[in-house]
Amino acid sequence: MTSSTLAHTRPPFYRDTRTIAILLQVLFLIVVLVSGWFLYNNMVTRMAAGNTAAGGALSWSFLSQTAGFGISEGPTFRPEESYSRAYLIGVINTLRVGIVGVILATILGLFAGIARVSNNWLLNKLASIYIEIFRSTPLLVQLLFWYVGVIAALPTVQDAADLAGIGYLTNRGMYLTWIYPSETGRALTWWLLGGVLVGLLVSWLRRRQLERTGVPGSGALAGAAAFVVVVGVGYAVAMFTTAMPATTNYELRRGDRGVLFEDLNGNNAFDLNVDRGLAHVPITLFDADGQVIATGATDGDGAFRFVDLPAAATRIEWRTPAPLAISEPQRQGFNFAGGISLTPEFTALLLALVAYTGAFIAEIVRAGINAVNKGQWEASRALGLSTGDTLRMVVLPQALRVIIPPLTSQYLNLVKNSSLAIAVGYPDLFNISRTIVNQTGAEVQGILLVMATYLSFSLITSLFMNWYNKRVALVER
Amino acid sequence: MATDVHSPSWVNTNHPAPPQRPPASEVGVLGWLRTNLFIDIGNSILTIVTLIVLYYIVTNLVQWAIGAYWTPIWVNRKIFAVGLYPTAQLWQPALVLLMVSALFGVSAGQWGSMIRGLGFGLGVLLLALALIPIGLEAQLVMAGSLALLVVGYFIGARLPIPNKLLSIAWILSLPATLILLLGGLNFPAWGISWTFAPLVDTNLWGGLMLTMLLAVVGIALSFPIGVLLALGRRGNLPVIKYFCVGYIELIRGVPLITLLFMGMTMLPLFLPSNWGNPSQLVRAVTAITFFSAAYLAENVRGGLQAIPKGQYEAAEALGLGSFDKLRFIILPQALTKVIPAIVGQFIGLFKDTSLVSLVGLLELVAVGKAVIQQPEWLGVPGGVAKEVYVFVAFVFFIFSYGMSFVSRKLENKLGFGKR
Amino acid sequence: MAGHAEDFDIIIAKNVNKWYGEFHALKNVSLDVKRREVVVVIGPSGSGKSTFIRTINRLEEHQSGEIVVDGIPLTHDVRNIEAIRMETGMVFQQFNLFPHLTVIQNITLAPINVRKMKKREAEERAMQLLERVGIPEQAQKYPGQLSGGQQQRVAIARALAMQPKIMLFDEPTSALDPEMIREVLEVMEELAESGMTMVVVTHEMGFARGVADRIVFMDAGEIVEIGTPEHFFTTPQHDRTKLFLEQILK
Repeated sequence: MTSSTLAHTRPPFYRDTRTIAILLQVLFLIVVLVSGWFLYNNMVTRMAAGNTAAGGALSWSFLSQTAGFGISEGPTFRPEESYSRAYLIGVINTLRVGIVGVILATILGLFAGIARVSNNWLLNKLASIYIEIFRSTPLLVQLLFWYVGVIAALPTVQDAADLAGIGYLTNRGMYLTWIYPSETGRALTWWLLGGVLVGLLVSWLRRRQLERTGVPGSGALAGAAAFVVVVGVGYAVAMFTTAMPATTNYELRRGDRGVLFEDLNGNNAFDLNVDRGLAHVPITLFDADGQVIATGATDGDGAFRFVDLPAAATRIEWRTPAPLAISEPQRQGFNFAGGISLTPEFTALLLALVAYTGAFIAEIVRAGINAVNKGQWEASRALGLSTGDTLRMVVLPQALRVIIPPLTSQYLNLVKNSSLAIAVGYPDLFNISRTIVNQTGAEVQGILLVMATYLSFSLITSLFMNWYNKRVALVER
Repeated sequence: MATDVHSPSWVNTNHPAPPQRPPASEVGVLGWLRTNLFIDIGNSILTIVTLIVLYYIVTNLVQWAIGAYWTPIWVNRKIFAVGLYPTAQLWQPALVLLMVSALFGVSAGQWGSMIRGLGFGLGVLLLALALIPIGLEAQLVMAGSLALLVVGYFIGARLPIPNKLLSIAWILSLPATLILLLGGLNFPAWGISWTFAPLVDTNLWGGLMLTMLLAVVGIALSFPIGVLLALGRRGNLPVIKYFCVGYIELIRGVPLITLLFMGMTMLPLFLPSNWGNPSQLVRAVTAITFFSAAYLAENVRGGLQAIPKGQYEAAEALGLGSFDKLRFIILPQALTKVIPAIVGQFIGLFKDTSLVSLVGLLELVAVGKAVIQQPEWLGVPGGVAKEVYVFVAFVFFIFSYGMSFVSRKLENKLGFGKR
Repeated sequence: MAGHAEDFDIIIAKNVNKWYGEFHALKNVSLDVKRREVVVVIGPSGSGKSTFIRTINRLEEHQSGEIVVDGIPLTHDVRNIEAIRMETGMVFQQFNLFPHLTVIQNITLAPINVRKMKKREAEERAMQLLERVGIPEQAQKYPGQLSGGQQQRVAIARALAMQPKIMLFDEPTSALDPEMIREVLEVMEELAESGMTMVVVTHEMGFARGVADRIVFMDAGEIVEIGTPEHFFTTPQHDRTKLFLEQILK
């Protein structure tokens, strides 16, 4: 036998390394497809047999149907709007609690994490007790504790605890003084957005200029200044150029409540889906004798409401408001009006998410700081930097690179964990999806919708983080 | 003798000098206080502020704890432990506890390290429960379990029991537990029906027992799936690889609660009509298993990545086939490396099982909710929610913190944490 | 060996080419190794010498050319690859012992599971091999408890336990502290004397001069020169070889 003839014999395909791999994958694909088909087939059979509620067929048409239920908080939603809009409100509510939660949890976690590496024994131990307790108990228990145990036990609206003038704390939620853009400040949002863009551009230009001239420093200050200038100009423009719409009209209902609106169709009556309410406009109420009986302001929808007034108002007057209006919460019967109100559900969910995630972030921060070489501390001490400066200017920037990846996954966890909202009735996307599913029976579609939404959060975040990581890595070089 | 700094040459004739005590401000209580609490002005202010905050928290907590109304918890201790499990058949869970304690004891003696730490924790818990007057029978079971744990430990430490035997015993303990709790086996669809006691419906299982069971069964069932997913993801077959990546990222991208609801409502749909509907417990376990598998896969992948390429090459050069290579060389090393991560995942899963209370299973949190709603406590001013949830949190804390404490201690000792 | 003629070339490599992406790592490498021959491959780092011996037992796949080991062509046939790997033992630069197994388990693993040898028999043979490499007392230890030299000797014993006809050495002493190199080289010398066919990639010129039957010099993925040690060290032909020897023997 000679080698040359043997070398050219082709092995049978099941022994050929090149075909084995393909064979395995084809086999795997077949198994997956067959089991997928089996499951799908069962599902279709069972659905046809009527094991599910009506509308079980895999159709998405239910999304445009009328929802017929109200949503307790978030952007205004009326029951006659569609399921898809209801779901959108849920998404916004998830993002609302998610974004605020992420910011607060980061602050809490940063402080607790720094306390955990502090050489002050007492502070260190206190932080460690906080971390261990909140990490080692389920988030759901914490949430229920805050909601049922703490917030429900707060004073009633009548005995509301006064938060040093910035708001009130009650078992119906938290009421805080807040700043809103008023009717004349509507354009401010665009100015703000423009300010951010101009600020970013200026800070980038400034940094490039600094780099070219070799001066150390960042463009942050220049950017911030540009932002302030743009927003300031916007404010002045809004203040001096915007007037109330010419067709401003009002409608009084029962004398003590009503709505101030821009009469777009000119019929002198407020039509819900046509006319536009005028937000945060100061108004004065007069009775038939021309006596002032009350002053106040409209709310974000242009509506106003006075309680404990004789229903005697016949006429109102309004003034052109400043672009920004400060709205203070005021007691109205069994509730508060004005300001910003945080429902018990939102507050409990936020508290629970922040306290829980904060504990995990603290551990990440601690690990990140510990990952920075001891020599860095010693070197900056030797240069005469204080502990605080060392932490801020030397250690944290380096720790950041270790901290960012696990921090991102904590942020995502926080958003995912906000789905526990269903335990306290906060209308987040998952909670609303359950309401929709219960009403329509669109079980499969509901689950798919929710999963797709959460997955897109993850995807967007990881895309952003990849971009950010690349930037951080570039700085390193 | 002082150094004569001005002379050009000088010899220390007193050498070697005897060591002297450091100044009082550096050692003892005073020294400790100085270096740890009052090293500079900023630190002192921090200490004082912390003290004030601490005083406020502690006095409030103590006041609350003294004034709190703990009766609902004491009265409902059985429900907190096992849910609605029939009282007459409590010997079945008792047997499970005895079996697990004995296994723990033997394994602690045989394997030491982490199992010994966990076994010690279990012993302390059993001792505490045996001493608290929770009921004579229950106390006897606890004492018996403790005895088995200790005896088992000495047997395990003295007698050479093959690792394989012990591992098989652990694996078999899982179905044994389920059969013991059920009171037999009953699959009418397949014509299997064998009982040694009246069958206990899984909807009656509850409390800490159910919480434990969900976590243990979840991690045990997800283990093989997770390992396969990790291998698939690490492998070089693109179709399988992307399937595994897709599965892992999909599951990790969505909250557990969506999977639980999906399991509850959609799992029955996926089965052939003649199989009937699986019980709530089975649905929850399925959801938890598929959830946990994705996270386990990522942990195992971490272990696989830590194995140098040379190990694969050496195995190949020796002529080991793909399967033998994984079985003898790669997996044993990868899995040992990820034990701490898997313990961490188990702790997470243990906490996450609380979510099944939202889909109608009577685990610890659901028991708590039910207790709060009991009409007896309606008259209690302020309700009993705080007390109940603090207790539930406490139970979770003992187990989670206990496990992470043991794991961390060992991680430091064995240098697992080092990369 | 039965079935094969004694003068048969046990390794035949003909026009072997390998690319890593665009990089041409092996360029038409051809080499025949006779039974009982000791071939030492030398060359600067990156010359492809490690890649070449790793293609012989398919740790690296070559893209063109022929390799035949002990009459078995190295094709994509799984059976052929398995057979070749059973005929060849390999010793790595980084030892690559299995850290979770004891020394004796390291050595007996493959004989028991690949050669289907009885455990008792495999252990007896393992002890003989450990005695041959001079560390029978370390049998129950874990690799982490041994010195580098001892580990490499265990690695040699592990490879020998499969009763290979060919031993491949991939820079076996490069990761060792100087005082341990000697003990490993002695084992290798003994092995060569016993008549084992060996292909050794190394930088140990003393070993090459003393033990090799032929020396192969590789550079930039090509074989530049082949010769007996005497010929090679005293009258190198190619300029590249001369330059290399000058640098290394300075």
